[in-house]
Amino acid sequence: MLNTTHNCPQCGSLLPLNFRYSKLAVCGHCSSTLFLEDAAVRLAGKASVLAEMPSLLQLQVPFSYQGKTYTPVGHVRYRYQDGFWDEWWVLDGADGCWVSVDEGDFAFEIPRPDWIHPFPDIRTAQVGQTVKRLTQSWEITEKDLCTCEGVQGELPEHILPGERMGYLHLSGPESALVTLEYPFQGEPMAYEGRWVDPFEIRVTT
Amino acid sequence: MSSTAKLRSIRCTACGAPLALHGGGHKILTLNCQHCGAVLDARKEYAVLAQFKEQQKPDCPLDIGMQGKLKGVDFTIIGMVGRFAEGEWVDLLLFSPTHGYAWLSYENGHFTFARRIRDVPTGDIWLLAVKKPLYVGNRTFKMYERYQADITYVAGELTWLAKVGDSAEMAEAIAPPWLLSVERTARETELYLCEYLQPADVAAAFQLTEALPDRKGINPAQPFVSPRLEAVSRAARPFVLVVAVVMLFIWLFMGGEEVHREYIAQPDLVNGKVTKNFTIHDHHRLVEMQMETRLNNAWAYLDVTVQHNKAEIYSFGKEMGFYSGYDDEGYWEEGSNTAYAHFKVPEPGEYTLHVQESEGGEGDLAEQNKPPTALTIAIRESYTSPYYFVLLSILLAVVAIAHAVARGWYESRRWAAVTEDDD
Repeated sequence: MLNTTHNCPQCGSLLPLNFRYSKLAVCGHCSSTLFLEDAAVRLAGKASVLAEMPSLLQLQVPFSYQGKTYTPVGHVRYRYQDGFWDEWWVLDGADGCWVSVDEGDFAFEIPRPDWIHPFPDIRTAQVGQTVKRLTQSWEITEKDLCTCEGVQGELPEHILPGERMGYLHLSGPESALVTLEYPFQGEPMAYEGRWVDPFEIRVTT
Repeated sequence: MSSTAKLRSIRCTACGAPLALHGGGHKILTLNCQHCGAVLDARKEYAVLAQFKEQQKPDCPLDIGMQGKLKGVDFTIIGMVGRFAEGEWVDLLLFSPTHGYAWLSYENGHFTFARRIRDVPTGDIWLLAVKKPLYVGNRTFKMYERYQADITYVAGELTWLAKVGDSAEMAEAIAPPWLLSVERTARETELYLCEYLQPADVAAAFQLTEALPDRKGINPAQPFVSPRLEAVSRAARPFVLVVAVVMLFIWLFMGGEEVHREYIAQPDLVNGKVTKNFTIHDHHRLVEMQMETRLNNAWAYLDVTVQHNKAEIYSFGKEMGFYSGYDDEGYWEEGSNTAYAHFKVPEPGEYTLHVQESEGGEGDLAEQNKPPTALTIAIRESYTSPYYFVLLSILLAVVAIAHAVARGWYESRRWAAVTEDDD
């Protein structure tokens, strides 16, 4: 529990805050809304560990989705322009896949290094453009840069805190999703999967 | 957690009023001041993007800042959008740190809980006729309606720039309690899976203390819920079967035993005839008398008297008639040459019947002209009537289908608005 003894900058009242999960609080005295600036970033930056944020998925806590049980064994957090998202490496028996979680947007993806050749040039790629693969057109729905904030557990790839990369999200039919990653150092990589409904995920407690 | 973490208060950059931020995540794009109607850019130091003064806050029992647990997930209401199509409703933006964003909509006392999905429907919801199927994921929806909705009010944190007056094309297909809502703007098309929530559940989730307004009309996603009627109808079903079996048993095995059969020729019937004696052994049970005439396009009125020791103990009249012929639609017939009477006798012993055709008519004229017919009488004793079981089975059958009938009536009301529009 990370309690602090901040005072409200508006009225000076003592704020019994617990910033463990929330970045926001409302002063009980003057109703001012207060938030913590970049606290999670600083913690991660200092210790290369992941600040504890509320999450449906937890390391080593199995969950089920559409009849299959998965166990998260690795966790990576990426920061991007709008905030951060989490990637969980989950095992279903011997097989593994990535579960991407960004404020309730959940996607399952598996590595597909040969998904497309050559990779589209990220420097010229624009949101809204389409990428053709075989007979299927994929729409670029997101383009951004991200930085790895920290890692936990076991991962199938060498991912280090501080690593930066560009990425494209491609959307296809039937909730299909492809992520093309362009590390600043190294070869591009593709991941293919689909969006899933978080309300269908059941965490085993 | 760093002890040097900074705190910052937020005030509306347009009017200076304290803004009630309630913790939406990093996808929040705008903060809408409830005091002055300013739309502030949440990503650019709350710069004023637009301002809509004199917004009329819609009626809603829930408000920004309230917290509640829906579908097992803790949500906070962070934004509010008032919309108008044929009527006004309120969309409340919910945020959960674990499940992200969802919507709770309120209209005429009804609540629906919606979340965005990325499935692609099989079929074009913008072209489908009413009630036509639409498949999304593993669910089958029926096309309900399409309409245009305008934004009338915005407040709090929102994940997009919403402006009063903005319009969107909406299309809805239903599979109660589920509703598929598709929203199309100039920029994008989004699908939402909505689920109808019982108002009592919403009140409990948000710990509302004041009674919610009564629901008006039927919401497109509202399931037919009548647990008591459903329980009664379900309970009645096995009894319908039991009574049917009992009726079959009575019909097959408890029809009694024939104790007398007699043919009465036409002249005797017109003049009146006393039958031969027949013996009834069990006076506690019913006696059945079957009468069979040979009327053809004629009717007859038979007077029957039951006699015991030459004394009349019971009499009744029976009108019988049988008509048949051909018309444009072919052969037709009505009436019957067979009739029954049931009675009890006072004691075991020998009995006779006096039978007479007292009135009758023949042909189309059907005048008072006694038609020629003979009569066959059959007497059975220890007869068990299925009459009450028939009544009971009808009653049980009505109860058994009451739930389905009520559901059908409810569904007809649900679809009335859109099918009338469709016509």
